[in-house]
Amino acid sequence: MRTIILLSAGYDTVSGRPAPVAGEIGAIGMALALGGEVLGVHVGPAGPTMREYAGYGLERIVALGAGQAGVVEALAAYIRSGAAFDGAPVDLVLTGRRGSGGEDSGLFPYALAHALDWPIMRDIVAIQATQGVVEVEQALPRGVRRRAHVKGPCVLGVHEMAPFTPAFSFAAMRRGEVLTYGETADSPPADMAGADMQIRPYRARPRLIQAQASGTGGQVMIDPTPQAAAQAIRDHLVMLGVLQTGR
Amino acid sequence: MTRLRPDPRALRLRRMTAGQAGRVRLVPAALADRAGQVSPSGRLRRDPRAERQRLLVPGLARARLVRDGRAGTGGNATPVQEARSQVTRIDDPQCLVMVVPDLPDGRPGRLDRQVMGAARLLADAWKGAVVLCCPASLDSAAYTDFAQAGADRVVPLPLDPTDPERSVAAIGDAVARFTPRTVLFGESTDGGDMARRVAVATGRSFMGDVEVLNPRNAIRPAMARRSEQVASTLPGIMALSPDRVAPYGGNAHEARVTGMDGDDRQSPVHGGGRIRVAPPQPGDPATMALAEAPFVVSAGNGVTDFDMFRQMVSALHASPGGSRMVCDAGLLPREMQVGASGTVLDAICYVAMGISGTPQHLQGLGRVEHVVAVNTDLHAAMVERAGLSIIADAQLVMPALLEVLRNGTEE
Ligand SMILES: Cc1cc2nc3c(=O)[nH]c(=O)nc-3n(C[C@H](O)[C@H](O)[C@H](O)COP(=O)(O)OP(=O)(O)OC[C@H]3O[C@@H](n4cnc5c(N)ncnc54)[C@H](O)[C@@H]3O)c2cc1C
Repeated sequence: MRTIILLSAGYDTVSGRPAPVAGEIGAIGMALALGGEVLGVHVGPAGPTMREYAGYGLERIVALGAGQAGVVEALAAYIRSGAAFDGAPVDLVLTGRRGSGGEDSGLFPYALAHALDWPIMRDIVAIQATQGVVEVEQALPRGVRRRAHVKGPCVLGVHEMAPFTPAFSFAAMRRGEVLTYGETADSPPADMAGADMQIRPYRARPRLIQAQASGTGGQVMIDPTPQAAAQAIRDHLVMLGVLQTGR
Repeated sequence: MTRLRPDPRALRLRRMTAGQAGRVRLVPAALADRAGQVSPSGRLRRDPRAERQRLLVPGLARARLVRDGRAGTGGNATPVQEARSQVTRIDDPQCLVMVVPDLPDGRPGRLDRQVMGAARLLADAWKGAVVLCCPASLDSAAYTDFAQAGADRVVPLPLDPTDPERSVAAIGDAVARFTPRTVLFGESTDGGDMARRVAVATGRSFMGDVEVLNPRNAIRPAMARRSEQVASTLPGIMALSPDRVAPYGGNAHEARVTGMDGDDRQSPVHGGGRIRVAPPQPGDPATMALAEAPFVVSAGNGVTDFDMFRQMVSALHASPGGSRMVCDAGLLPREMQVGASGTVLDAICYVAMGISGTPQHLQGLGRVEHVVAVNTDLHAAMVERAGLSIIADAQLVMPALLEVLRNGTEE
């Protein structure tokens, strides 16, 4: 298994300082659990944040210079070229759900998958790889899980609930190497503001307030016999559909 | 952009009112827009009823006013119910707004209705119509729901729940056929995924996590939620965050079924076949993270028999939880604590055994819809929050409930 993990130079949501992105740390943990060769790739200059990713157990990180090409094209070309693993093809690209500090749209993995013409799945909590087919488990809200088979090399987005957060170690951070590859023309990061796009400080807006199902008190049973109480609870839960009677 | 040119004479005329002794007064410019609401002496006249209406939270049995500047929540309030008997038809729309709902269980869900509300808002401002894409296999009740939610056209598509790439191809064909001005999705697990897939497949501009959406602009957080992006030209594809736009509450729309013409569909569905998704499986409640659990049964200080509690929880197929009192005492592990300093739940149903319901604990209930309380105290806050309350000793109710559940399985 040869896995590439997409790393971004993130910012902490609270402090605003450069920091690794939680979803990408989860992706590192998942790749290490899968085993095989693992490489972190960041498109852009190698900042101090890349070293911190190394502290989570990533031994090699490549800072890719995009040169004149766009970020997606540059990365797709790098993955196709085989330069990542000495000519051997890449089997898997793991990403977080979305970046933290840039546009944070979560669109990048999709654009990359489109450029590579690979299938993509996100919100993955478990991976099993056998010859040519990757079996993944996808997390849906409320603890629901969904299995899927994905053919061939693919791009997978890791869910926050994935149980693979590796421990940080200072020694690993010192040991890991951050290499540069390609033209490191220090092109300024793509400008998010445009003619019809404006950037301004975030303002938290209230969400809609929803009507609560039962405002003040519902049915009250005072001092029922335990049997009557138990029956009432059972019937109520069955009525709500949370208790299956068939089992 | 076209900008309105002010007409100084008209503005001045609007500000003029009759003063004393045949003289003409000028009302201050800030008040001129509300000329009708200005008394002859220039004082602003308040309309307490309209103000109250603006502050009112819609859909509650008991009136609730929100005064902290969050007005507008009531602005889109559901108009009177009688008006809903008529059906609004839009035969000749100037543009189309497409909606791709998630349809959990084949019905429009809460987020779907909000997305429809946003689409209605845009379509009404642009004199357009709302086109809704749905799977081909839906019952007629779903179409009634679409009409109520404000859909003008419904397009059944060969969406494939087992292969997202096939669904993308179908939606892509529909986008090519109808060329909507914008396509709206809900920012949910599946909706957000589909929105991004369609965005890269069609090459349209994309904006996800949209928190503010109106005909003038769309706003979303960016840069680790420290900045926001404001798009003054709405992107071609958007995914709307939950609970940001009120659902549509006006007249039902037509929901006319519109097919795709045969030659529009690219016959062999391009792409697809690389992903095979199995049907969703509910997780194991005993090991699932509390934040995800759909059904939680919690013990508080009123529970003393924890063996019985565990047996009852597993018989209910629920996830166990507890109040801080219980977790502090070491009777349950810390991961099971519900509340402000524990886990905030996303459950559908919550059963509280011997929990008083302090504010710190109730914070953990977030948006849990159904609560059942067992408590010896009729006046406990938890009893007030519950849909069903049993005023009895939890130690007696638990074995009885276990008995009822075991008998139920034997039948
Ligand atoms: C900063 C801060 C953070 C906190 N965060 C949390 C938090 O995250 N989660 C949390 O839970 N708490 C939290 N608390 C603590 C909270 O304020 C309460 O102390 C706690 O929730 C009370 O737990 P309880 O309801 O189990 O106990 P009690 O308040 O003692 O209530 C016991 C209830 O059981 C009933 N009862 C008694 N005997 C029986 C019986 N035999 N059968 C049935 N009912 C019976 C009583 O009538 C009573 O209503 C926090 C407090 C602070 C100060």
